[in-house]
Amino acid sequence: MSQLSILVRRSNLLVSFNDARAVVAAWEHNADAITLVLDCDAANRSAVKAAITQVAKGGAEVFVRVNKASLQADLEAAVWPGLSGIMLPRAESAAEVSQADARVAALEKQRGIVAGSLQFIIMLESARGVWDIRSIIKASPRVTQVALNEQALAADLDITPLPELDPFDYARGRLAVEATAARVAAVGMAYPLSALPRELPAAALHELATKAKNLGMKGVICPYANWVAPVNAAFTPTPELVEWNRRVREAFAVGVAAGTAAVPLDGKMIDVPVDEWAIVVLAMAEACAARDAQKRAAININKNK
Amino acid sequence: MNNHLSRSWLLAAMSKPEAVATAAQSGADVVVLDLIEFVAETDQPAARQNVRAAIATVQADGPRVFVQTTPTTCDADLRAAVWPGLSGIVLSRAETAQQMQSVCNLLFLLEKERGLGEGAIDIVAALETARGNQDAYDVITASKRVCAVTLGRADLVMDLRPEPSGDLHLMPYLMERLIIVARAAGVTPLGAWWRAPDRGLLSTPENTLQAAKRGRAAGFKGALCLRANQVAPLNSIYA
Repeated sequence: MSQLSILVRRSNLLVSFNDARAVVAAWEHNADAITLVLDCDAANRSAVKAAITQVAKGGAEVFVRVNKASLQADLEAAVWPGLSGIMLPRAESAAEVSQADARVAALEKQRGIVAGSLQFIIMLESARGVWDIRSIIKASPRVTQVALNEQALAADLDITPLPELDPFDYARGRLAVEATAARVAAVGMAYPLSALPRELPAAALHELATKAKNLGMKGVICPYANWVAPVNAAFTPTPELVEWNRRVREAFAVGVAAGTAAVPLDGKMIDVPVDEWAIVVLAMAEACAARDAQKRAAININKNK
Repeated sequence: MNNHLSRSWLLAAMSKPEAVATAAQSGADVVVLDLIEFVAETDQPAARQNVRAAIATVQADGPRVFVQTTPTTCDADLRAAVWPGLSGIVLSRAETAQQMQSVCNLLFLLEKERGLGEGAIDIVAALETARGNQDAYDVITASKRVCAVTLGRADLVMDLRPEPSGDLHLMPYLMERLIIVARAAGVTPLGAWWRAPDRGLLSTPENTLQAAKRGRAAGFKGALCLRANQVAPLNSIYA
Protein backbone atom coordinates (compact mmCIF):
# COMPACT_ATOMS: atom_id res chain seq x y z
CA MET A 1 0.00 0.00 0.00
CA SER A 2 1.17 3.52 -0.67
CA GLN A 3 2.04 5.83 2.15
CA LEU A 4 -1.05 7.84 1.30
CA SER A 5 -3.41 5.10 2.34
CA ILE A 6 -2.05 4.89 5.86
CA LEU A 7 -1.65 8.56 6.71
CA VAL A 8 -4.15 8.91 9.54
CA ARG A 9 -4.74 12.62 9.84
CA ARG A 10 -8.52 12.74 9.88
CA SER A 11 -8.93 15.89 11.93
CA ASN A 12 -6.57 18.83 12.09
CA LEU A 13 -7.74 21.35 14.69
CA LEU A 14 -6.79 24.97 14.14
CA VAL A 15 -5.83 26.77 17.33
CA SER A 16 -4.87 30.40 17.50
CA PHE A 17 -1.46 30.73 19.12
CA ASN A 18 -2.58 34.06 20.59
CA ASP A 19 -5.47 32.40 22.42
CA ALA A 20 -3.68 31.10 25.51
CA ARG A 21 -6.74 29.28 26.87
CA ALA A 22 -7.36 27.52 23.57
CA VAL A 23 -3.70 26.46 23.42
CA VAL A 24 -3.93 24.99 26.93
CA ALA A 25 -7.17 23.10 26.18
CA ALA A 26 -6.47 21.95 22.62
CA TRP A 27 -4.94 18.57 23.51
CA GLU A 28 -8.14 17.33 25.14
CA HIS A 29 -10.19 17.38 21.93
CA ASN A 30 -8.73 14.18 20.49
CA ALA A 31 -7.66 15.69 17.17
CA ASP A 32 -5.22 13.68 15.07
CA ALA A 33 -3.34 16.89 14.41
CA ILE A 34 -3.33 20.37 15.88
CA THR A 35 -2.17 23.39 13.96
CA LEU A 36 -1.02 26.43 15.88
CA VAL A 37 -2.02 29.48 13.88
CA LEU A 38 0.69 32.08 14.20
CA ASP A 39 -0.15 35.73 13.56
CA CYS A 40 2.22 37.88 11.53
CA ASP A 41 2.68 40.23 14.45
CA ALA A 42 2.82 37.62 17.22
CA ALA A 43 5.09 39.22 19.82
CA ASN A 44 5.92 36.16 21.90
CA ARG A 45 7.33 33.91 19.20
CA SER A 46 9.71 32.38 21.73
CA ALA A 47 6.67 30.76 23.36
CA VAL A 48 5.83 28.70 20.27
CA LYS A 49 8.27 25.98 21.32
CA ALA A 50 6.43 25.44 24.62
CA ALA A 51 3.04 25.62 22.91
CA ILE A 52 4.07 22.79 20.58
CA THR A 53 4.78 20.61 23.62
CA GLN A 54 1.55 21.70 25.27
CA VAL A 55 -0.79 20.88 22.34
CA ALA A 56 1.01 17.56 21.73
CA LYS A 57 -0.06 16.24 25.15
CA GLY A 58 -2.96 14.30 23.62
CA GLY A 59 -0.78 12.57 21.04
CA ALA A 60 -1.68 14.91 18.21
CA GLU A 61 0.78 15.70 15.46
CA VAL A 62 1.61 19.38 15.70
CA PHE A 63 1.81 21.82 12.83
CA VAL A 64 2.36 25.55 12.78
CA ARG A 65 0.64 27.77 10.25
CA VAL A 66 3.17 30.38 9.23
CA ASN A 67 2.67 33.60 7.31
CA LYS A 68 4.08 34.58 3.95
CA ALA A 69 4.93 38.05 5.21
CA SER A 70 6.97 36.79 8.16
CA LEU A 71 8.03 33.40 6.86
CA GLN A 72 11.60 33.32 8.13
CA ALA A 73 10.73 34.57 11.63
CA ASP A 74 7.78 32.18 11.82
CA LEU A 75 9.86 29.19 10.76
CA GLU A 76 12.55 30.07 13.27
CA ALA A 77 9.91 30.22 15.97
CA ALA A 78 8.27 26.95 14.93
CA VAL A 79 10.88 24.47 13.78
CA TRP A 80 11.73 22.52 16.92
CA PRO A 81 11.91 18.83 17.74
CA GLY A 82 8.35 17.63 18.30
CA LEU A 83 6.94 19.56 15.36
CA SER A 84 5.44 17.44 12.56
CA GLY A 85 5.39 20.15 9.99
CA ILE A 86 4.40 23.50 8.62
CA MET A 87 1.12 24.68 7.14
CA LEU A 88 1.87 27.02 4.25
CA PRO A 89 -0.96 29.49 3.61
CA ARG A 90 -1.98 30.96 0.26
CA ALA A 91 0.48 28.90 -1.77
CA GLU A 92 0.59 30.24 -5.31
CA SER A 93 3.79 28.97 -6.88
CA ALA A 94 6.24 26.09 -6.85
CA ALA A 95 9.01 28.62 -6.20
CA GLU A 96 7.64 29.70 -2.85
CA VAL A 97 7.24 26.08 -1.73
CA SER A 98 10.83 25.31 -2.76
CA GLN A 99 12.01 28.35 -0.87
CA ALA A 100 10.17 27.28 2.28
CA ASP A 101 11.62 23.78 1.83
CA ALA A 102 15.17 25.18 1.75
CA ARG A 103 14.61 27.29 4.85
CA VAL A 104 13.12 24.38 6.76
CA ALA A 105 16.01 22.16 5.67
CA ALA A 106 18.49 24.67 7.10
CA LEU A 107 16.61 24.82 10.40
CA GLU A 108 16.34 21.02 10.59
CA LYS A 109 20.10 20.81 10.32
CA GLN A 110 20.69 23.61 12.80
CA ARG A 111 18.32 22.17 15.41
CA GLY A 112 19.09 18.49 15.25
CA ILE A 113 15.94 17.40 13.44
CA VAL A 114 16.06 14.51 10.97
CA ALA A 115 16.64 16.00 7.53
CA GLY A 116 13.47 16.03 5.44
CA SER A 117 11.27 14.86 8.29
CA LEU A 118 9.12 17.98 8.58
CA GLN A 119 6.04 17.88 6.38
CA PHE A 120 4.14 20.58 4.56
CA ILE A 121 0.39 21.06 4.46
CA ILE A 122 -0.35 23.30 1.49
CA MET A 123 -3.27 25.71 1.68
CA LEU A 124 -4.71 26.85 -1.64
CA GLU A 125 -6.53 30.11 -1.08
CA SER A 126 -6.70 31.73 -4.49
CA ALA A 127 -7.58 31.02 -8.11
CA ARG A 128 -3.87 31.19 -8.90
CA GLY A 129 -3.15 28.44 -6.40
CA VAL A 130 -5.99 26.24 -7.65
CA TRP A 131 -4.88 26.67 -11.24
CA ASP A 132 -1.21 25.87 -10.48
CA ILE A 133 -1.85 23.09 -7.94
CA ARG A 134 0.14 20.51 -9.86
CA SER A 135 3.46 22.33 -9.79
CA ILE A 136 2.86 23.60 -6.26
CA ILE A 137 2.33 20.22 -4.62
CA LYS A 138 5.18 18.64 -6.57
CA ALA A 139 7.61 21.37 -5.55
CA SER A 140 8.70 19.58 -2.37
CA PRO A 141 8.66 15.97 -1.14
CA ARG A 142 7.61 17.39 2.22
CA VAL A 143 4.08 18.00 0.92
CA THR A 144 1.80 15.33 2.40
CA GLN A 145 -1.53 17.16 2.38
CA VAL A 146 -3.16 19.90 0.34
CA ALA A 147 -6.33 21.75 1.20
CA LEU A 148 -8.59 24.31 -0.36
CA ASN A 149 -9.46 27.26 1.87
CA GLU A 150 -12.84 27.94 0.30
CA GLN A 151 -13.55 31.02 2.39
CA ALA A 152 -10.34 32.57 1.13
CA LEU A 153 -11.05 31.45 -2.44
CA ALA A 154 -14.47 33.12 -2.25
CA ALA A 155 -12.78 36.31 -1.10
CA ASP A 156 -10.25 36.03 -3.91
CA LEU A 157 -13.08 35.74 -6.45
CA ASP A 158 -14.97 38.48 -4.63
CA ILE A 159 -18.09 36.36 -4.23
CA THR A 160 -20.62 35.54 -1.54
CA PRO A 161 -21.48 31.89 -2.16
CA LEU A 162 -25.14 30.82 -1.98
CA PRO A 163 -25.63 27.78 0.27
CA GLU A 164 -27.78 26.17 -2.45
CA LEU A 165 -25.25 26.67 -5.25
CA ASP A 166 -21.81 25.15 -4.79
CA PRO A 167 -19.36 27.33 -6.76
CA PHE A 168 -16.36 25.09 -6.04
CA ASP A 169 -17.26 21.69 -7.49
CA TYR A 170 -14.56 22.21 -10.06
CA ALA A 171 -11.92 23.51 -7.66
CA ARG A 172 -12.59 20.73 -5.15
CA GLY A 173 -12.62 18.11 -7.90
CA ARG A 174 -9.36 19.45 -9.26
CA LEU A 175 -7.90 19.28 -5.75
CA ALA A 176 -8.95 15.64 -5.28
CA VAL A 177 -7.71 14.48 -8.67
CA GLU A 178 -4.42 16.39 -8.74
CA ALA A 179 -3.61 15.47 -5.15
CA THR A 180 -4.36 11.80 -5.65
CA ALA A 181 -2.28 11.73 -8.83
CA ALA A 182 0.64 13.29 -6.94
CA ARG A 183 0.24 10.87 -3.98
CA VAL A 184 -0.69 13.73 -1.70
CA ALA A 185 -3.76 13.64 0.53
CA ALA A 186 -6.54 16.06 -0.36
CA VAL A 187 -8.14 17.66 2.67
CA GLY A 188 -11.46 19.42 2.96
CA MET A 189 -15.04 19.60 4.16
CA ALA A 190 -18.16 19.26 1.99
CA TYR A 191 -20.20 22.22 0.76
CA PRO A 192 -21.70 24.44 2.09
CA LEU A 193 -19.75 24.03 5.33
CA SER A 194 -16.49 24.13 3.39
CA ALA A 195 -17.11 27.70 2.25
CA LEU A 196 -19.30 28.81 5.14
CA PRO A 197 -17.79 27.07 8.18
CA ARG A 198 -19.68 27.19 11.47
CA GLU A 199 -20.56 25.06 14.44
CA LEU A 200 -23.24 22.46 13.76
CA PRO A 201 -24.73 19.51 15.64
CA ALA A 202 -22.51 16.42 15.54
CA ALA A 203 -24.88 14.47 13.29
CA ALA A 204 -24.85 17.18 10.61
CA LEU A 205 -21.07 17.44 10.83
CA HIS A 206 -20.74 13.68 10.52
CA GLU A 207 -22.93 13.67 7.42
CA LEU A 208 -20.96 16.44 5.70
CA ALA A 209 -17.61 14.92 6.69
CA THR A 210 -18.76 11.60 5.22
CA LYS A 211 -19.69 13.41 2.04
CA ALA A 212 -16.23 14.99 2.01
CA LYS A 213 -14.68 11.55 2.35
CA ASN A 214 -16.74 10.37 -0.61
CA LEU A 215 -15.49 13.37 -2.60
CA GLY A 216 -11.95 12.06 -2.21
CA MET A 217 -10.90 14.00 0.86
CA LYS A 218 -8.68 12.21 3.40
CA GLY A 219 -9.29 14.53 6.31
CA VAL A 220 -10.68 17.87 7.40
CA ILE A 221 -9.08 20.99 8.80
CA CYS A 222 -11.31 21.86 11.73
CA PRO A 223 -11.82 25.50 12.68
CA TYR A 224 -13.95 24.47 15.68
CA ALA A 225 -13.19 21.88 18.34
CA ASN A 226 -16.66 20.37 18.00
CA TRP A 227 -15.86 19.30 14.43
CA VAL A 228 -13.14 16.92 15.63
CA ALA A 229 -15.19 13.98 16.97
CA PRO A 230 -17.62 13.72 14.04
CA VAL A 231 -14.76 14.15 11.56
CA ASN A 232 -12.70 11.41 13.21
CA ALA A 233 -15.73 9.13 13.15
CA ALA A 234 -16.59 9.86 9.52
CA PHE A 235 -13.06 9.08 8.33
CA THR A 236 -12.76 5.88 10.40
CA PRO A 237 -14.11 2.68 8.79
CA THR A 238 -17.12 1.52 10.82
CA PRO A 239 -17.09 -1.93 12.48
CA GLU A 240 -19.76 -3.02 9.97
CA LEU A 241 -17.59 -1.95 7.07
CA VAL A 242 -14.56 -3.69 8.56
CA GLU A 243 -16.56 -6.90 9.11
CA TRP A 244 -17.89 -6.84 5.55
CA ASN A 245 -14.44 -6.34 4.12
CA ARG A 246 -13.04 -9.18 6.22
CA ARG A 247 -15.68 -11.42 4.69
CA VAL A 248 -14.83 -10.06 1.24
CA ARG A 249 -11.20 -11.00 1.68
CA GLU A 250 -12.06 -14.47 3.01
CA ALA A 251 -14.56 -15.20 0.25
CA PHE A 252 -12.18 -13.95 -2.40
CA ALA A 253 -9.29 -16.05 -1.03
CA VAL A 254 -11.51 -19.14 -1.06
CA GLY A 255 -12.56 -18.35 -4.63
CA VAL A 256 -8.99 -17.88 -5.81
CA ALA A 257 -7.95 -21.15 -4.16
CA ALA A 258 -10.79 -22.83 -6.06
CA GLY A 259 -9.62 -21.29 -9.32
CA THR A 260 -12.01 -18.34 -9.78
CA ALA A 261 -11.40 -14.61 -9.34
CA ALA A 262 -15.09 -13.69 -9.20
CA VAL A 263 -17.01 -14.81 -6.15
CA PRO A 264 -20.60 -14.02 -5.16
CA LEU A 265 -21.13 -12.78 -1.60
CA ASP A 266 -24.52 -11.67 -0.27
CA GLY A 267 -25.65 -11.00 -3.83
CA LYS A 268 -22.57 -8.95 -4.70
CA MET A 269 -19.77 -9.95 -7.02
CA ILE A 270 -16.34 -9.95 -5.40
CA ASP A 271 -13.51 -9.59 -7.88
CA VAL A 272 -9.99 -8.17 -7.90
CA PRO A 273 -10.85 -4.45 -7.50
CA VAL A 274 -13.31 -5.22 -4.68
CA ASP A 275 -10.66 -7.29 -2.93
CA GLU A 276 -8.07 -4.56 -3.42
CA TRP A 277 -10.44 -2.00 -1.97
CA ALA A 278 -11.05 -4.32 1.00
CA ILE A 279 -7.31 -4.36 1.63
CA VAL A 280 -7.32 -0.56 1.73
CA VAL A 281 -10.31 -0.39 4.09
CA LEU A 282 -8.83 -2.95 6.48
CA ALA A 283 -5.42 -1.26 6.46
CA MET A 284 -7.08 2.07 7.15
CA ALA A 285 -9.13 0.59 9.99
CA GLU A 286 -6.01 -0.88 11.54
CA ALA A 287 -4.09 2.36 11.15
CA CYS A 288 -6.96 4.33 12.71
CA ALA A 289 -7.16 1.90 15.63
CA ALA A 290 -3.40 2.16 16.20
CA ARG A 291 -3.55 5.95 16.02
CA ASP A 292 -6.48 6.07 18.43
CA ALA A 293 -4.66 3.80 20.88
CA GLN A 294 -1.62 6.05 20.70
CA LYS A 295 -3.68 9.13 21.43
CA ARG A 296 -5.61 7.40 24.21
CA ALA A 297 -2.37 6.42 25.90
CA ALA A 298 -1.05 9.97 25.70
CA ILE A 299 -4.28 11.45 27.00
CA ASN A 300 -4.44 8.97 29.91
CA ILE A 301 -0.89 9.71 30.98
CA ASN A 302 -1.50 13.44 30.97
CA LYS A 303 -4.93 13.28 32.57
CA ASN A 304 -3.52 11.36 35.50
CA LYS A 305 -0.78 13.90 36.06
CA MET B 1 -11.56 48.23 -18.59
CA ASN B 2 -11.72 48.34 -14.85
CA ASN B 3 -12.72 51.99 -14.93
CA HIS B 4 -15.81 51.10 -16.92
CA LEU B 5 -19.00 49.43 -15.89
CA SER B 6 -19.36 46.13 -17.68
CA ARG B 7 -22.41 44.56 -16.11
CA SER B 8 -24.51 44.12 -19.24
CA TRP B 9 -23.30 43.37 -22.76
CA LEU B 10 -26.20 43.54 -25.21
CA LEU B 11 -25.68 41.91 -28.57
CA ALA B 12 -27.32 43.52 -31.61
CA ALA B 13 -27.12 42.08 -35.13
CA MET B 14 -25.89 44.66 -37.63
CA SER B 15 -28.42 43.29 -40.12
CA LYS B 16 -31.25 44.60 -37.91
CA PRO B 17 -31.11 48.40 -37.70
CA GLU B 18 -34.04 48.50 -35.27
CA ALA B 19 -32.18 46.13 -32.90
CA VAL B 20 -29.16 48.40 -33.05
CA ALA B 21 -31.28 51.46 -32.31
CA THR B 22 -33.00 49.69 -29.40
CA ALA B 23 -29.67 48.52 -28.00
CA ALA B 24 -28.30 52.05 -28.00
CA GLN B 25 -31.18 53.15 -25.78
CA SER B 26 -31.31 50.03 -23.62
CA GLY B 27 -29.15 51.16 -20.74
CA ALA B 28 -26.62 48.42 -21.49
CA ASP B 29 -23.09 49.20 -20.33
CA VAL B 30 -21.76 47.74 -23.55
CA VAL B 31 -23.45 47.23 -26.92
CA VAL B 32 -21.90 44.46 -28.98
CA LEU B 33 -22.52 44.99 -32.69
CA ASP B 34 -22.52 41.57 -34.25
CA LEU B 35 -21.15 41.20 -37.75
CA ILE B 36 -21.10 37.48 -38.10
CA GLU B 37 -22.95 35.22 -35.70
CA PHE B 38 -26.49 36.48 -36.21
CA VAL B 39 -26.01 38.04 -39.63
CA ALA B 40 -26.80 35.94 -42.70
CA GLU B 41 -23.83 35.51 -44.98
CA THR B 42 -25.47 37.52 -47.76
CA ASP B 43 -26.01 40.41 -45.34
CA GLN B 44 -22.47 40.46 -44.00
CA PRO B 45 -20.97 42.84 -46.60
CA ALA B 46 -23.70 45.40 -45.87
CA ALA B 47 -23.22 44.91 -42.15
CA ARG B 48 -19.53 45.73 -42.51
CA GLN B 49 -20.32 48.76 -44.65
CA ASN B 50 -22.66 50.17 -42.02
CA VAL B 51 -20.76 49.36 -38.88
CA ARG B 52 -18.58 52.48 -38.72
CA ALA B 53 -21.63 54.75 -38.67
CA ALA B 54 -23.43 52.48 -36.21
CA ILE B 55 -20.48 52.61 -33.80
CA ALA B 56 -20.59 56.39 -33.81
CA THR B 57 -24.37 56.50 -33.33
CA VAL B 58 -24.51 53.96 -30.49
CA GLN B 59 -21.51 55.39 -28.70
CA ALA B 60 -23.06 58.85 -28.79
CA ASP B 61 -25.95 57.46 -26.74
CA GLY B 62 -23.64 56.39 -23.91
CA PRO B 63 -22.78 52.72 -24.08
CA ARG B 64 -19.32 51.54 -24.98
CA VAL B 65 -19.28 49.70 -28.28
CA PHE B 66 -17.69 46.36 -29.11
CA VAL B 67 -18.05 44.39 -32.31
CA GLN B 68 -18.38 40.64 -32.48
CA THR B 69 -16.16 38.79 -34.90
CA THR B 70 -14.53 35.38 -35.33
CA PRO B 71 -10.97 34.26 -36.10
CA THR B 72 -11.99 33.28 -39.63
CA THR B 73 -13.72 36.56 -40.54
CA CYS B 74 -11.82 39.06 -38.44
CA ASP B 75 -9.73 40.44 -41.26
CA ALA B 76 -12.73 41.91 -43.08
CA ASP B 77 -14.65 42.59 -39.87
CA LEU B 78 -11.89 44.53 -38.15
CA ARG B 79 -10.99 46.56 -41.22
CA ALA B 80 -14.63 47.62 -41.30
CA ALA B 81 -15.02 48.27 -37.61
CA VAL B 82 -11.79 49.56 -36.06
CA TRP B 83 -12.51 53.28 -36.04
CA PRO B 84 -12.47 55.88 -33.29
CA GLY B 85 -15.39 55.15 -30.99
CA LEU B 86 -14.85 51.41 -30.90
CA SER B 87 -13.80 50.11 -27.47
CA GLY B 88 -13.19 46.47 -28.22
CA ILE B 89 -14.06 43.25 -29.93
CA VAL B 90 -15.70 40.03 -28.86
CA LEU B 91 -13.76 37.24 -30.51
CA SER B 92 -16.17 34.35 -30.85
CA ARG B 93 -14.90 30.79 -31.12
CA ALA B 94 -11.47 31.85 -29.92
CA GLU B 95 -9.39 28.70 -29.63
CA THR B 96 -5.67 29.31 -29.68
CA ALA B 97 -3.05 31.74 -28.45
CA GLN B 98 -1.86 32.03 -32.02
CA GLN B 99 -5.24 33.30 -33.17
CA MET B 100 -5.20 35.90 -30.44
CA GLN B 101 -1.75 37.07 -31.46
CA SER B 102 -2.65 37.41 -35.11
CA VAL B 103 -5.80 39.36 -34.20
CA CYS B 104 -3.63 41.59 -32.03
CA ASN B 105 -1.20 42.24 -34.83
CA LEU B 106 -4.04 43.32 -37.07
CA LEU B 107 -5.40 45.57 -34.33
CA PHE B 108 -2.01 47.25 -33.90
CA LEU B 109 -1.86 48.01 -37.63
CA LEU B 110 -5.39 49.35 -37.74
CA GLU B 111 -4.98 51.43 -34.60
CA LYS B 112 -1.93 53.06 -36.09
CA GLU B 113 -3.49 53.57 -39.49
CA ARG B 114 -6.72 55.01 -38.11
CA GLY B 115 -5.39 57.25 -35.39
CA LEU B 116 -6.45 55.20 -32.37
CA GLY B 117 -4.16 54.91 -29.38
CA GLU B 118 -1.96 51.86 -29.36
CA GLY B 119 -3.74 49.10 -27.47
CA ALA B 120 -7.01 51.04 -27.43
CA ILE B 121 -9.05 48.05 -28.57
CA ASP B 122 -9.85 45.48 -25.88
CA ILE B 123 -10.67 41.85 -26.54
CA VAL B 124 -13.31 39.64 -24.95
CA ALA B 125 -12.45 36.01 -25.63
CA ALA B 126 -15.63 34.00 -26.18
CA LEU B 127 -14.74 30.33 -25.80
CA GLU B 128 -17.21 28.13 -27.60
CA THR B 129 -15.29 24.95 -28.28
CA ALA B 130 -13.73 22.24 -26.16
CA ARG B 131 -10.31 23.25 -27.35
CA GLY B 132 -10.82 26.90 -26.52
CA ASN B 133 -11.96 25.95 -23.03
CA GLN B 134 -9.17 23.47 -22.51
CA ASP B 135 -6.57 26.06 -23.48
CA ALA B 136 -8.39 28.98 -21.89
CA TYR B 137 -5.42 30.13 -19.82
CA ASP B 138 -3.09 30.32 -22.83
CA VAL B 139 -5.73 31.98 -24.99
CA ILE B 140 -6.45 34.63 -22.37
CA THR B 141 -2.83 35.38 -21.56
CA ALA B 142 -1.79 35.54 -25.23
CA SER B 143 -2.50 39.27 -25.27
CA LYS B 144 -2.69 42.10 -22.77
CA ARG B 145 -5.73 43.28 -24.70
CA VAL B 146 -7.87 40.48 -23.31
CA CYS B 147 -9.99 42.12 -20.64
CA ALA B 148 -12.70 39.53 -20.22
CA VAL B 149 -13.65 35.98 -21.07
CA THR B 150 -16.97 34.22 -21.55
CA LEU B 151 -18.29 30.86 -22.62
CA GLY B 152 -20.27 32.67 -25.27
CA ARG B 153 -23.11 30.60 -26.53
CA ALA B 154 -21.23 27.46 -25.61
CA ASP B 155 -24.38 25.55 -24.86
CA LEU B 156 -25.59 26.20 -28.40
CA VAL B 157 -22.65 25.71 -30.66
CA MET B 158 -19.80 24.18 -28.80
CA ASP B 159 -18.52 21.01 -30.25
CA LEU B 160 -19.34 19.03 -27.15
CA ARG B 161 -22.94 19.10 -28.46
CA PRO B 162 -26.06 20.01 -26.53
CA GLU B 163 -27.25 17.62 -23.88
CA PRO B 164 -30.00 15.37 -25.25
CA SER B 165 -31.92 15.81 -22.00
CA GLY B 166 -32.18 19.53 -22.60
CA ASP B 167 -30.15 20.18 -19.45
CA LEU B 168 -26.79 21.87 -19.43
CA HIS B 169 -24.86 19.27 -17.50
CA LEU B 170 -21.43 20.31 -18.70
CA MET B 171 -21.92 23.96 -18.02
CA PRO B 172 -21.30 24.08 -14.26
CA TYR B 173 -17.92 22.42 -14.75
CA LEU B 174 -16.99 24.71 -17.64
CA MET B 175 -18.25 27.86 -15.92
CA GLU B 176 -16.51 27.17 -12.61
CA ARG B 177 -13.30 26.31 -14.40
CA LEU B 178 -13.45 29.45 -16.50
CA ILE B 179 -13.99 31.61 -13.41
CA ILE B 180 -10.87 30.14 -11.80
CA VAL B 181 -8.87 30.55 -15.01
CA ALA B 182 -10.06 34.13 -15.50
CA ARG B 183 -9.09 35.13 -11.98
CA ALA B 184 -5.71 33.40 -12.27
CA ALA B 185 -5.11 35.23 -15.55
CA GLY B 186 -6.39 38.55 -14.23
CA VAL B 187 -9.37 39.07 -16.54
CA THR B 188 -13.09 39.48 -15.92
CA PRO B 189 -15.30 36.39 -16.25
CA LEU B 190 -18.59 37.17 -17.99
CA GLY B 191 -21.65 34.93 -17.86
CA ALA B 192 -24.72 33.94 -15.94
CA TRP B 193 -25.82 30.67 -14.41
CA TRP B 194 -28.59 29.72 -16.86
CA ARG B 195 -30.78 26.74 -16.23
CA ALA B 196 -32.84 24.61 -18.58
CA PRO B 197 -35.03 25.30 -20.45
CA ASP B 198 -33.31 28.67 -20.88
CA ARG B 199 -30.54 28.67 -23.42
CA GLY B 200 -29.20 31.77 -21.86
CA LEU B 201 -29.22 34.77 -24.06
CA LEU B 202 -32.93 34.67 -24.89
CA SER B 203 -34.19 34.31 -21.36
CA THR B 204 -37.08 36.24 -19.78
CA PRO B 205 -36.20 39.18 -17.54
CA GLU B 206 -37.15 37.20 -14.42
CA ASN B 207 -35.07 34.16 -15.42
CA THR B 208 -32.23 36.47 -16.36
CA LEU B 209 -32.40 37.98 -12.89
CA GLN B 210 -32.18 34.54 -11.27
CA ALA B 211 -29.37 33.44 -13.60
CA ALA B 212 -27.47 36.63 -12.79
CA LYS B 213 -27.88 36.08 -9.03
CA ARG B 214 -26.49 32.58 -9.34
CA GLY B 215 -23.81 33.81 -11.75
CA ARG B 216 -22.70 36.53 -9.38
CA ALA B 217 -22.50 34.04 -6.49
CA ALA B 218 -20.34 31.78 -8.63
CA GLY B 219 -17.95 34.55 -9.67
CA PHE B 220 -19.18 36.13 -12.89
CA LYS B 221 -18.95 39.92 -12.98
CA GLY B 222 -21.30 40.71 -15.87
CA ALA B 223 -23.06 38.93 -18.71
CA LEU B 224 -23.92 39.04 -22.37
CA CYS B 225 -27.57 39.11 -23.42
CA LEU B 226 -29.63 39.31 -26.60
CA ARG B 227 -32.72 41.23 -25.56
CA ALA B 228 -32.99 44.78 -24.31
CA ASN B 229 -35.28 43.73 -21.46
CA GLN B 230 -32.48 41.57 -20.01
CA VAL B 231 -30.31 44.64 -19.43
CA ALA B 232 -32.07 45.95 -16.30
CA PRO B 233 -31.83 42.64 -14.39
CA LEU B 234 -28.16 42.29 -15.31
CA ASN B 235 -27.40 45.86 -14.26
CA SER B 236 -29.20 45.40 -10.96
CA ILE B 237 -27.39 42.17 -10.01
CA TYR B 238 -23.91 42.77 -11.35
CA ALA B 239 -23.77 46.13 -9.61
